[in-house]
Amino acid sequence: MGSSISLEGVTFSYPGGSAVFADISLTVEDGGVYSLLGPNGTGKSTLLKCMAGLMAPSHGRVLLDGRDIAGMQPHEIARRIGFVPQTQVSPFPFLVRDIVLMGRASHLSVFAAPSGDDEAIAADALDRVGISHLAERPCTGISGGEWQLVLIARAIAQRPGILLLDEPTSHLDLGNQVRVLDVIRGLAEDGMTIVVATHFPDHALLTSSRVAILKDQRILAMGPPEEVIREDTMHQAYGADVRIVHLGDPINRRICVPVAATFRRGTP
Amino acid sequence: MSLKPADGRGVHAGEGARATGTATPKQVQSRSWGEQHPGTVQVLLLGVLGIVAFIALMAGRYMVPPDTVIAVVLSSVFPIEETWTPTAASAVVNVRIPRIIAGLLVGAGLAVSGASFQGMFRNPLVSSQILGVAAGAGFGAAIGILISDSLVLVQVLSFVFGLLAVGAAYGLSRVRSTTPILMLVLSGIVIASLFSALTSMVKYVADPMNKMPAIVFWLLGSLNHVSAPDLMVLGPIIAVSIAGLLVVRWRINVLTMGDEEARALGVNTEHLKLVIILLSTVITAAAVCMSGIIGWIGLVIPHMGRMLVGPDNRYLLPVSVLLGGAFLIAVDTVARTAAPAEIPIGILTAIIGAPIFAVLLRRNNPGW
Amino acid sequence: MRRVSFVFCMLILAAGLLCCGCTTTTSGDQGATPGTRTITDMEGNQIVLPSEGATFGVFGGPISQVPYLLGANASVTAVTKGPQMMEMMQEMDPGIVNKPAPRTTNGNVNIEELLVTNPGCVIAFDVDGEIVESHTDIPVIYLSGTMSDGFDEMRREIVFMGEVFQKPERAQAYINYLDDTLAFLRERTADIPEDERVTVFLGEGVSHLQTLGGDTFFTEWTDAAGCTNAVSAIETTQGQQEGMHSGINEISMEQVLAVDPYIIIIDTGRPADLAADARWKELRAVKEGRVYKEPTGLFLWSRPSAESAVLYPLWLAYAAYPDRFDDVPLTDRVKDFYAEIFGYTISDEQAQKVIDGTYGSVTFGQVKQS
Repeated sequence: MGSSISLEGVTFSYPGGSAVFADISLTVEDGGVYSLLGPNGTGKSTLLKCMAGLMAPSHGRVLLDGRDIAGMQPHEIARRIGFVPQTQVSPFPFLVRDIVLMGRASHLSVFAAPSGDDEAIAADALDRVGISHLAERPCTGISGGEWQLVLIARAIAQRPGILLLDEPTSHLDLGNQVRVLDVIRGLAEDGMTIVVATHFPDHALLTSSRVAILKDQRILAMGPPEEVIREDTMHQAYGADVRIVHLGDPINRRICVPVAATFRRGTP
Repeated sequence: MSLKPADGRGVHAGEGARATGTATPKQVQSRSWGEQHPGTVQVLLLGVLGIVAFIALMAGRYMVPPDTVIAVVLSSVFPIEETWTPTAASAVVNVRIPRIIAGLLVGAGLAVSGASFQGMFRNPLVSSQILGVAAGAGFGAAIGILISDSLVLVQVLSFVFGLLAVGAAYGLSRVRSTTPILMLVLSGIVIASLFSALTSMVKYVADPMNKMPAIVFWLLGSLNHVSAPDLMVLGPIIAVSIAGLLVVRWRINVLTMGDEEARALGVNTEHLKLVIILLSTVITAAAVCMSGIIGWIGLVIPHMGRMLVGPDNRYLLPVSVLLGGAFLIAVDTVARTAAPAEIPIGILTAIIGAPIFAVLLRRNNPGW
Repeated sequence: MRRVSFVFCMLILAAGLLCCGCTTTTSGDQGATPGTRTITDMEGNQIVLPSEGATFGVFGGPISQVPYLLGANASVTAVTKGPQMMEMMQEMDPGIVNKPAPRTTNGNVNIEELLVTNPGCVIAFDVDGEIVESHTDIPVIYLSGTMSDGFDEMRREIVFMGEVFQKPERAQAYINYLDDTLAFLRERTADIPEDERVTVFLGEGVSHLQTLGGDTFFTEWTDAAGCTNAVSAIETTQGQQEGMHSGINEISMEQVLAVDPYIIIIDTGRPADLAADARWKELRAVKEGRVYKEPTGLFLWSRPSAESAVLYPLWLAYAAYPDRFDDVPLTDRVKDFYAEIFGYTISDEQAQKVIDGTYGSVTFGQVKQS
């Protein structure tokens, strides 16, 4: 069973600056994948970090399972929320399994070191993400795509109820993108609540049960993907033209492809 | 529409390189033997430490035959007939043993606090003196020497001001209830410069024949003036603080991921940083007030440790303790036996350590 | 742009040439004109001084007392900080605190202070002398001397200073006093066999382990008292270290245990400290109460000075062989020395202060820094 996060009237602005987003209210709960779309710079990452309790909103509250996240200790939050950031590979040559093992920190007291049980949970997390074969590799010897999977495994090792992923596919090649999306769907099917900030509307169509678009400091639209991802909303959000097409069997889903005047090359 | 391959197997069956798609761009570094057997390395180092301490006990400018040394040491536990002079006993018990214990504590303490700071600051070039503890302790000692003849007062003031300096650096670096690493470094530089300048001012006021050289000399690293009473007080302080750092060593791993990620993983980074800073500072301040400023150890021993067992602090910190202790005992033994006059230990730590470090650097990949 | 850089280069060249013209030249080729005299210093340079009214800066610790010995301190206008801070020196010459003190320690000369004071010439050793020479026009009279110098060099130095200050008869008076004292001591201790001579260990600093070895003046001063330097087998003049005066070096506790000296002299703390320290208390000097605080007078006695050359062997002989010197109290001899040589009459209490080592130096702004 997943946890729930509620945002009530959340506003965030940097000191001395204007608001990044204002008066956002939404609730994430009970399984499923939520996609957060929006152009560069609208504050998707910031919103996600506010949800994870890593940044404090200037106004409003974030509630985790009904409790104000601001009053919670880091380890209490980390047992419920797993946050997968966008980072470069760590410069320290820790082994992949030791990186994933760090996910157990919130379950261990300050004086404790990880036990055999913790190592087993970490191994299981590696397995669910499909990178068990990388366990003994130093993390300086893996690619960016593999690193993203390691971070997901680390978040899973926290055994959270909610997983927040900040643009997990942005730097990945096609194969790895597909892999990550599949892992996400698999986790959602197992009951985890997942929030993904992403650049790719098509990925949202692929995985999500609900979508929200963040633009101009507010939520432009929120709801099931069929309602939110439409050609007019995409144009409003990104200033780009798209075509939403339903492909028949065997693919059997709606896809979103960009269309631009310069792309049209007719056969002579 | 499912993404699963047509044969229905899930992605997470072991599919080798295909599962990850691209070939790994960086060269895969093979792990050293030490990294694969960290426990054995620690046992071996313990043995090395024992041997080094034993040799140190035997060596000295006052000739005591080896069997006498052993007899003297054992006689504190077992009743053995005294066939030696009181001076020989004094040389072993009052001069050598305190010095060896001091070398162990100071070497181990500086090494482990250096390793902890390097993890916390995510920078291999820091030592525990980056927050100004040595500059503060030097100032305290200078004031003590200036106003009195009492060695105890000098040591107390040195310890107190060492802590005060770091406290000031910590307070200066607080930004809205967090202490960002960059602010800590900058504050440390500011505070260290301030206390350095104050120490120069004290030197200026002091009489140039007695007090000023005494101040400068006190700051030079030396285990020559460590006495048993010093050790009784400062020894447990250092030992307990080392133990404290060892207890949280796994969490330092998490801290190396960066403040934000560590917090996301559930670590209370502010508390942890404060604990590390406090323990490391206590160790360094106690070491400085016992034996002056001995450089190089907090910086280089962790590197050597990393080359032996890798960056995992679960193994790196204990290895640093053993390596640092053995190293300083060995260097101090050379300092007091190689020449008629004592060789300053700071020079020796550099001369002996640097070539060893250079050799290690050439053989392994440098960096973390 | 090219024209601007050309003009710029010409300006730099011109400035460089101007600076070249400003170097000082030692007055090697100036002939003696009426009203002047020529001195050859201890490094062979020739310096021309006025016959009368010359003013001097005196840079150096032990050497600073010599103008007083010669009765010529009025012509000294720039002094050295260390001697200026000595308590007994301030008692002897209260006016010294008002004199500018450009030189603190070896190699530390405040040039601007020196230029403001502008003495006619500066008497200094090599390091300070070179600094003065390269930064100012003031002629330098070079002294030569190290911590290895013995009585012979001391005599040479006093005679030379007597010539510089035009008081040769006072210089000779000191030489005679020194020779008489050494002869007296020799006579009283000549019959002590080699193996019964008292061994003396000087342990300075907080650790009491900084000492003067066999290659320093201390060995000869100690010999003159019929004693032996306990660490004469160790050489300490190798290399100057920070925090220690040149010629002083730190030895290890074990070496002190090995030599087990008969007498220990300390300059920091009290003799009782050693009795309470487990490392020291087994030594016979500590057990038998022969730990002494180092005497201090116009300057530290652990430097080769006119004062220490006479008084140190005297004091040590009295401490080592009290029965051979029980006819005249040491205080009398001390008083006699200061009166005869420095023209400074002191009381019994002051003499005792010298002997007990309770004279110190004055800090904390009681010395005016001009």
